[in-house]
Amino acid sequence: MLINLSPQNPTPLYRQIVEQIKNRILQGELEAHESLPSIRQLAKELTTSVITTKKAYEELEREGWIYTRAGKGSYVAPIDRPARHEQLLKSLKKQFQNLITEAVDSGITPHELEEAFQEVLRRYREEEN
Amino acid sequence: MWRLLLKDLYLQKRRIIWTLWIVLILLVAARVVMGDAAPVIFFATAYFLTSIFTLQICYNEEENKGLAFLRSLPLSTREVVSSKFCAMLLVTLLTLAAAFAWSLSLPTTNIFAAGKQETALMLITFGELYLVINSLLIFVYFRWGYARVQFLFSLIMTFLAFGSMSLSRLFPKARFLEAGLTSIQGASTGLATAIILIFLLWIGSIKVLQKKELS
Amino acid sequence: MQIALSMENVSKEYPNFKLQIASLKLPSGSIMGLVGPNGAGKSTLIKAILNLVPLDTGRITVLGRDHLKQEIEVKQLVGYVPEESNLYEEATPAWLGGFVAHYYATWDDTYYRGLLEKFQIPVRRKVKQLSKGGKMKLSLALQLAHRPDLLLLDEPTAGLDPLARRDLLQELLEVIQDEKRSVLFSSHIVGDVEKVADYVTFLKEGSIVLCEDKEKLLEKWRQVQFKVFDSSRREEIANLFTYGKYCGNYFQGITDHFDEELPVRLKELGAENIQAVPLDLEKIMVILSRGGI
Repeated sequence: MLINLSPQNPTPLYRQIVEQIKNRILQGELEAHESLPSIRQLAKELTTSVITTKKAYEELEREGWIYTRAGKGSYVAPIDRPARHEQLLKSLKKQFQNLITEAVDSGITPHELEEAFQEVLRRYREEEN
Repeated sequence: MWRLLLKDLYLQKRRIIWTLWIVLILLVAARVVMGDAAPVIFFATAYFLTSIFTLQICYNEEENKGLAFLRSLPLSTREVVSSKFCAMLLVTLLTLAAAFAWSLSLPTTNIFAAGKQETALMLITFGELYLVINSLLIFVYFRWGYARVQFLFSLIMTFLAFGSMSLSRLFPKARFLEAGLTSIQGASTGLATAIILIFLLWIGSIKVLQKKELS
Repeated sequence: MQIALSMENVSKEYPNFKLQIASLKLPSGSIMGLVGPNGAGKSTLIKAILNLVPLDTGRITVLGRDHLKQEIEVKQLVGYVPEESNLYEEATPAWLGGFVAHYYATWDDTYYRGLLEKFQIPVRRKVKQLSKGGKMKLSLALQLAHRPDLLLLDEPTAGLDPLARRDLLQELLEVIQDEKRSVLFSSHIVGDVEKVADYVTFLKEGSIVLCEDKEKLLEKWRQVQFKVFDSSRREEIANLFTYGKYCGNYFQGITDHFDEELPVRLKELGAENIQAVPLDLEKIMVILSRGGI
């Protein structure tokens, strides 16, 4: 499984694993009930510790992305796309909330914030085309 | 234990071959140069050599930190100590046997010839003494390390060299010692004592090595 | 949970130094990294397990066996790779393999040959002709080949180039693919420990300062900075932190018990612009070594 870990990235490694597996699942690269490598195999593959992959899998299971069968391993949970989508939007809104609060604390007006957002979104669309 | 002996043989191949060559050359030179000289000097050299070999047996491990390596293997201390004692016994007895055999080839050095019985017995008794000295060297190595062995060795050799030469002058009573050294009773008592002492040094070495820190 | 290695009340005294371990436990199937400044006692601790250093007091239990009473049995199951090679200089890897094989029931010669090839160690070259890294890799090959249930390594990555370091860490991860096998290694290259260790033990002046699950450790330590304008609460705020100092209205501190409550509490006490940054293992070690920022 091709996961890229970046130790320089301030996000904890286990979180990086969680995010990348989540994305794979959402993009359909990992199918429902597909088996995942064991925590030990994954640790070896990524040259990281077992306790990190274990934590990542525990988090994924807690968030409902995977399930584990004792003695057999971990598998991708079937996802309810609309519900997931909803959940992602909710989490995104929360992130916006934090971003806005931080910006306003630093003295940026909501109007400036909206303009900045529009600019970045415009540039993104241009690059995509 | 035999595996350990073979290990030493394998690792010290080159040294052993060199030593054999040198000893052979020395023996031939001794024969050519000394010819009629007293056998005692000849044998004194042979005995001295056995102690040198014993030092070498200890140094084999010392130069490689071998004791630490062996300690990390599933190997008992008894095996390690026994292999050293065994090597020492083999080397000492072989050297002495070779010296005795060589001496038989010349009438002047043939200690088993008529009238030389006393000399032969004295040399045997001294041989027993050297077995004990060599065992002591091994014990000291295990207890205090190689530097101390070298020191002890020099001490013993100096003592023996000067002592044997001036013994009769310093201690006139030592005359009866000489009688003891050259009789069959003397030789057999010596053998019994030697065996007991060597056994004690063997046990002592095991105990001492077991407790030793090997970093 | 099985415990591969356990130390209780272990102590060893030297003229200038004393090793004193109240308790140390290594769960099976995991890798523990032993870190600490030079002279902290990491080597001594590892050597004590194999009785290379006889203890003054204490018990060491290895895979359920007493390290003294069942010494030979323990050594059958343990592999030890020392910091400095203690292999016979005149020997060749081929001969060493044959010699060592006789002492271990679990010796796998095919695996040994494979490792020599993988580590690029010439089979018939004498040990004295190998580089420092080569000797270390040979020691490792010899120890891996009898498939020990506990592998002890003393500074295995010191003196190895980055590629060889990575290879070695991969080998350690390979060992614990089997849950019954464990690894304990000491290193002053904290980055290597951070990479593959499940547990981290920090040793300082002969005692354990810290022994913890690596992920939990990284979760609990944070560098926090914020501004405080209300001078009446300054002290109260500073007390929340293990280390820290004020620079005008600016406070920078380190906490070793960070949780979600802390920023909330700080805000209540009047802190503004709170930023909490995780620390890498090396920074944590430096702070613990120095006793401050």
